[in-house]
Amino acid sequence: MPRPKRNRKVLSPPAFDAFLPSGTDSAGKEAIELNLEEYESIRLCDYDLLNHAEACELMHVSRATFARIYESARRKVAKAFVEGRAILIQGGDFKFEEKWWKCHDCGSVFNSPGRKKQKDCALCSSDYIEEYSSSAESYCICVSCGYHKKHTPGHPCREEKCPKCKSRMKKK
Amino acid sequence: MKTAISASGDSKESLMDKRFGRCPYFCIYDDESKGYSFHKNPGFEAQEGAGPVAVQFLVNEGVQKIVAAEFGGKVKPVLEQLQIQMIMMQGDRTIEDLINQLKK
Ligand SMILES: [Zn+2]
Repeated sequence: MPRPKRNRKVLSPPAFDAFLPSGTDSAGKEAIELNLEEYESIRLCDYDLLNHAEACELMHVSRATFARIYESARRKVAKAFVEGRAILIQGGDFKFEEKWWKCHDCGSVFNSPGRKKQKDCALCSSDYIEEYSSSAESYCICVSCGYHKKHTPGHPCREEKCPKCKSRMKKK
Repeated sequence: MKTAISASGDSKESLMDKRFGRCPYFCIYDDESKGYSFHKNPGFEAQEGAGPVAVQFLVNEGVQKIVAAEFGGKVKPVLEQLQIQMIMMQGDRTIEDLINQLKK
């Protein structure tokens, strides 16, 4: 049985997927995975400078839960800093209030007011855009054999090749 | 449709400002006339609540999209409610560069 979906909120996704350290061979080390709630907790507290009460209200979590998420986020960031590991920002168990999109041409990230379907980039009008998925349950599906695999956030489905038949893949 | 870009100065060579509420200027681009104009952000000098002051100003100007690097946790839910589109861009971009993107 999958766990019931929590009501945690993240306001918007980050515009990038990862941090990579320089001057060390991070390739040989396991990356740190920072989930979106952890990323959001640092953004709200240490970038937006909100207090914990304001941050947990925005994230729809209790003070205790927020403190746990934030503590975990800081430990992960510290571990990555000290050990020279990459930080991948992905996954989590939360919802966006809005639909969010990323443009692969100009790099912008934008929402669609009123949750309307967005056909092209709000900035450069390119149609090479991808909707951000807020959960780990999105998949890429092969156009010819139907094979599907877990979607890699930030990696457009149409750039994926089916591991079975090497055909193009699309968003399921 | 009018788009506001958070700006660090009042010329098209100025860079986009990273923070929405406390940017000194807004450049407002109108895609009907293809014209743009610079406006002082009244939120820049606000003691408190820079975000809401800036939002109110842009609503009065009829803006429906805003470009900035980040909006802040308190501003995002307000813009969502008002159905004003948020566009986040990373990097050091000039106002001119962003206007050219909008003209495409
Ligand atoms: Zn774009």
